[in-house]
Amino acid sequence: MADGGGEDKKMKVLVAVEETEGSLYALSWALDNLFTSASDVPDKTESLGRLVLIHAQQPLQHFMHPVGPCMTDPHHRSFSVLFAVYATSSVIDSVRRAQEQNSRNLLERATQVCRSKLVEAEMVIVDGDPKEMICQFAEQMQADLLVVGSRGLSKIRRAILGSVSGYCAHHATCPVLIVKPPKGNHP
Amino acid sequence: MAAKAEDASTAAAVGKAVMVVGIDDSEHSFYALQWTLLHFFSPAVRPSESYKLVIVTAKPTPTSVISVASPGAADVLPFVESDLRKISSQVIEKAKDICAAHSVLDVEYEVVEGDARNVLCEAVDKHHAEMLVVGSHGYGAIKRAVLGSVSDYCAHHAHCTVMIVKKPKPKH
Repeated sequence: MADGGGEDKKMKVLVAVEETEGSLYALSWALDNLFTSASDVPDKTESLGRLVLIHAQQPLQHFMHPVGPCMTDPHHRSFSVLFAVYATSSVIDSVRRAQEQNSRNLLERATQVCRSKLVEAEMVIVDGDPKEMICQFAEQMQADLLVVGSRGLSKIRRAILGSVSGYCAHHATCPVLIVKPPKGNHP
Repeated sequence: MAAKAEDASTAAAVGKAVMVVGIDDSEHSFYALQWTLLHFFSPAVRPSESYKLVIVTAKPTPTSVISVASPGAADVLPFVESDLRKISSQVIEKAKDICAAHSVLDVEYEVVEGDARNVLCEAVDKHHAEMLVVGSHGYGAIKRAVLGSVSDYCAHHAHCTVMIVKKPKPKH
């Protein structure tokens, strides 16, 4: 069992990064507790496994499909009159760009956190429903551990907004670590 | 040295950070325990800062196992009670064996009577644990009907980080 030195102890850890405070706290918790070692090597991940950060972008809402200015389109009935003004392609583009900028900022912060703890992390951005994408990716990369933050929502809000951590706890095929924010942050 | 002390500041003053592992008599639980020992307690990974391990098993109360209204229930209760006690002590024995096999010595073992969900969350509070580890799909045959309800409850209600370890399913 404990042969081959540190070989079989290497873990492939996938950390889900979202735009919540809980998520970045989860990342730093994971870095502190999963990637520390007695020796202070510049890149600890080599000896201790792989760290992958995954960020899932929500797809744009359906009703924002690009409706052209042409109102005689037979497929779009009366509501196209309303949406033709709001959902032009330029709006779609700027929303998408803002979203990408958000993701990039988020991953920037995440990278900085990793670097400050001397851990090199790989970044992955996926499009789609965060819960499903994260679990799918964990399975694809054969992660040893999936780390998610928790927002500490009340039951009702969790039921309405959906819980990534809850979903992953049930559906991921690998062990799941749910990091809670420290007690002071509970609403 | 890396500034790790922040997270476990209070624990560092007292000793090591506490990790509570909830087990029962299912294969999933023992798998979770072994996985945890392998990845968190092996000397190669963590030579200096180990966790203090507290292994908790919940012993269901006899009345929760059999319906009290059935005739002759009072007579059956003592047998059910001793049966449950035997199962719990077997669980602890097996846990001790697993820990010994992984050369983990600083372990506390507890058998607490009550519902698994409450027992584990209370154990976290009692020991000021930093992490709770549970298996999934296996906390008692009775609860198995509601799949993974204990792990789900603990994930939401425990006051610390929760790790849910799943036994990999065999490929169909």
